[in-house]
Amino acid sequence: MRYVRVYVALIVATIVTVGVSTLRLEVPWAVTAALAIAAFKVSLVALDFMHLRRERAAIYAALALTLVLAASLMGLILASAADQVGMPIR
Amino acid sequence: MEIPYSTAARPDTGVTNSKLGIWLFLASEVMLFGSLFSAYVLLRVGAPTWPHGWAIMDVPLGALNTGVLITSSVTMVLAWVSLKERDLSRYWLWMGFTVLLGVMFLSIKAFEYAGHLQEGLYPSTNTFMGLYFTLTGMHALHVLAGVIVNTWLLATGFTMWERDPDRLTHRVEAAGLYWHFVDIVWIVLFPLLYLL
Repeated sequence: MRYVRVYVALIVATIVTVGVSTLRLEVPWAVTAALAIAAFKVSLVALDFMHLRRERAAIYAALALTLVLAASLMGLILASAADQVGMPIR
Repeated sequence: MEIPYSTAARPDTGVTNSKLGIWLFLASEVMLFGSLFSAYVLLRVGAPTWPHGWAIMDVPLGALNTGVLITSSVTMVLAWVSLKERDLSRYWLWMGFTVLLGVMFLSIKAFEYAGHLQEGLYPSTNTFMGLYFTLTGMHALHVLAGVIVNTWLLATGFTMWERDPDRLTHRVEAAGLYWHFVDIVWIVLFPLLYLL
């Protein structure tokens, strides 16, 4: 059954991400590896458990709007702080 | 006044009202957690120093909780599949497991919180701990809400099944979409707070 195969993949990916963290990589590499594995796991849950692999256009439209709004929210917040990177937060 | 409940897909959207409704609700949840994740990035890049999560957190316990929540996502989707196959007894089994795993997740989280407090790690200790308690606390509240809804669907399942099987199936599908979203949030939180 596909759900069980996805489950096994998610558990293996969890073990891999914990294993990679024990390598104590430099922070940029550690962040890249951890987020790449997390993105893989998120895509599995969304595509298979939430059935986004085969969905109606109305659901994709709602999802697309969400992604645009969320990206705008995060982008604007982070862009506003870009000139303060490295300065202590008071 | 009784609000009519339709189990048929609308001709204009092609999906049921409950399904479109839960997706729009999840859209608002993405914005909520999106703002919290933005706060995490903002505070982390702006801080002169930042502790490693693995030096403070119990990584094996966090990994165990990740496994518990992922397992509960599978049992949730199997509960929905059981209803699609018109097998109510299997639905009870899988939904029962889902509720138990949700309670187990919260119990482990509470055990972790107790450990932090015993070590003198409070939300006010530093920015990292403030973010940790805010993010995991908000997530735990969502898990608790999911456990309550799933318990209700378990308790009223038989009656609802007798009256309107499609209604129960659609409600479990909507609750499942929410539960998987909560799983997704934890999948991102775990590396951010425990592994980096």
